[in-house]
Amino acid sequence: MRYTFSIVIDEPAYVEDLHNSLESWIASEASDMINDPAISYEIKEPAPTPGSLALLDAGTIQLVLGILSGSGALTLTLRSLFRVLEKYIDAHKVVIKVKFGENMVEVSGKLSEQERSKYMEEFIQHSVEVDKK
Amino acid sequence: MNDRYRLPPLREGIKGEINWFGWMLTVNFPDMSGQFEEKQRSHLESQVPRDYLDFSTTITHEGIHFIQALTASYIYRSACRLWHGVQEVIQKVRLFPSDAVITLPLQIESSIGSMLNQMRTKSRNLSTPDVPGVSPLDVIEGATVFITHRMHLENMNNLGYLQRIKEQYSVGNLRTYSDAYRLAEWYLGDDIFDIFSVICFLALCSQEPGQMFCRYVRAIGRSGILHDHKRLTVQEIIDSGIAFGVTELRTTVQEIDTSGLWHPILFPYVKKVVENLPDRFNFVEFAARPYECDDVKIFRLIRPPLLRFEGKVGNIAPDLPDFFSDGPASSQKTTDKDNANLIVTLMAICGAVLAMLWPDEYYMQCPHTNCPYYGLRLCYAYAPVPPSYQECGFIERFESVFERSLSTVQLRKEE
Repeated sequence: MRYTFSIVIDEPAYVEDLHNSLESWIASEASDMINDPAISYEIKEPAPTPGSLALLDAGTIQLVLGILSGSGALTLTLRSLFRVLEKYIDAHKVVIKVKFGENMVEVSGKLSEQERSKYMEEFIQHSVEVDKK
Repeated sequence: MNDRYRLPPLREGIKGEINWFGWMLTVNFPDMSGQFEEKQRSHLESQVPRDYLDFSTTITHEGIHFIQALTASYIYRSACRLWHGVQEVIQKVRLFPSDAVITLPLQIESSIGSMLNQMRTKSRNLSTPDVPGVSPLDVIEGATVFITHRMHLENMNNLGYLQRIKEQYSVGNLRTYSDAYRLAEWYLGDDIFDIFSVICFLALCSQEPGQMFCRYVRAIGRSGILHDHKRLTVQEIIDSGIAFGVTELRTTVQEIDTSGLWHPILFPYVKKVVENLPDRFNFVEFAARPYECDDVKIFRLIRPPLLRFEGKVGNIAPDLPDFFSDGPASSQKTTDKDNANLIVTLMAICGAVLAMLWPDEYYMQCPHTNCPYYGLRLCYAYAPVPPSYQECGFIERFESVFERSLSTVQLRKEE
């Protein structure tokens, strides 16, 4: 199953830096999970729909994670992703929004374990709902 | 549109889009349309929340594209050629036996791909260490971002603008919004600020906007004209170009008069706009510097036909031209509903043609994943999302235009 996250940062100048941080996260902290054959990933730039002129959102990075259902890796990956974003926010004093489907989580500081669990639960529940349709 | 049909969001990462076929404008924000009407041209930055500023400037941005299409021949001509390319594909598909299975991607020749690529091909007539050249799309988007900023931030200067585009548009795909300005600024310095949108407009009145943009930058630089006179009129810049061999420019009106090119949406608009402009209104000067116009009536006359917002609100411009009066199939009585229906159908069918030629992960706004045709993604450009897939209007439109059942179309299986 493919999960698409849109990670929106309120300071567009940090996009490239955040992009690099996500790459580093995938190469280091998340490497065990990403290297698992159950998971693939792709960091995409927004692009216009063919046949249209678009104004792209300067602060958006799309992270697409392909994770096999039931592998148990989703929870670990999400928890790790939220942690890396929290660290980034702490270091750079920016606000990051993580959007998935019609849901959105705004991360503006360190999340409590309770908040992190709540967001993950919402995300997983939403993903399962989409999957069932 | 029926109230039961909801208006879906765009995909993430896109603030707004205007479609080359139906010229429908879509904005990816909560509904702020009521506020927009009142505050459209006020000085916004310090008075309103960031989301509102983004919403307002996004509408302006996409609206400027529509002005470009009605005034600069390159965009009008490209829209017509894309439209003809779509018609060619439809004709070829109709030649298949109606019960034959069509496997995607379509294996037929089409001019559409090369045209879309050409828009992204950079002319390397001029370059800088940071900007390798300028494409037609760079000129279109560069002018649009610049004009939008000048409309909303009237006290901005060259340095302020450079800072903004550096912060927002200096990496990856986003560079298309800033490359043209940064290249011109490299050669002409601060002086570019008062003539940039004029050079872009003139370049977009040519056959090769990327190349023509570079030629104008070079011609103006060599002429030395900016030493004495900073704010050149459009005519003065045209004259500078002529001195250096730059000719053959056409506005959209001149293109229509010369070549007779016809577009089902843009042509009636051009006709309506020209017929309704005030006497002695300098349309070319307006097209080159829309930010200097403060006549709201002009902007109302040239607004795109349909708007839709993420906030489930759709607006049809109240003064649509009659799209059927000059077309091949003219009708005596046309309602706004007919006109809006034409735009929706045109966008849906043109989107389907692109998806048949290049099947991909087009963003599906529709939540009805149990629809038997969902996986084809041919309907991604069909605007109204129905309450259920059984009530969807796309299938009927597709089958009527392509003269075949949608069930005869299938994706090539992955090997």
